[in-house]
Amino acid sequence: MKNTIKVERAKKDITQADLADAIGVSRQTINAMEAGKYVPSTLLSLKIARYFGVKVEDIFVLEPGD
Amino acid sequence: MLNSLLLPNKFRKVGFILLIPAFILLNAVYMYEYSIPFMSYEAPTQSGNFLDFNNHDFSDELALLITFFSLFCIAFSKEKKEDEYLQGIRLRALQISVYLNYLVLVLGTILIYGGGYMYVLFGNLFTILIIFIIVYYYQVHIKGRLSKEEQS
Repeated sequence: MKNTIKVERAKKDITQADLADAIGVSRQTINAMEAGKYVPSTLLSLKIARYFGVKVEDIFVLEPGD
Repeated sequence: MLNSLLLPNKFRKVGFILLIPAFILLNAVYMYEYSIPFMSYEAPTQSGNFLDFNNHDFSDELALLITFFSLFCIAFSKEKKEDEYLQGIRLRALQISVYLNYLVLVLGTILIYGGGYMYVLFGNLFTILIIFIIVYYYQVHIKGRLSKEEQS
């Protein structure tokens, strides 16, 4: 699964730490998600989508083989 | 693993502060047969092994308990900011430490005989906690710090 967190973050011009604080996780979690090393829970995905004001599917996209 | 099963963050500091005296005491007791004066008393006879109050020196028990306690505090204290990612790392580190703990035990059983095997069992008391701490801290605090440098 890939995601567009980094792109969304760039649009809003916020750092990983800003996003982490806004949704109540550690900065490492954001970093791991952007690097594709961590697949967040449904709860966290929904929070991220809500923060950016988009749908979950706009941020998280399945890749072939998933 | 639920957050509520973890100790508050400040216990980590307590664990680190206690670890050094605990280690020194453990070495003193087991290597040099040191005995804490107020932890021992003269007893006329000695019998049995379970809850034996005729056992007249509790220095080794105290040393072991303090060591367990400090390692436990270091291993199972909350981070300042807990989240699901850290819980995942914690769970995985726990799994790795259980596997390696038994690997050490299996290798010890195959390779070491006689009195030496007692050292394997003694070391095995700590291996789960020690390996857990190494794996977890590497993942969270060392790798985490590296990723921070990459980002900025």
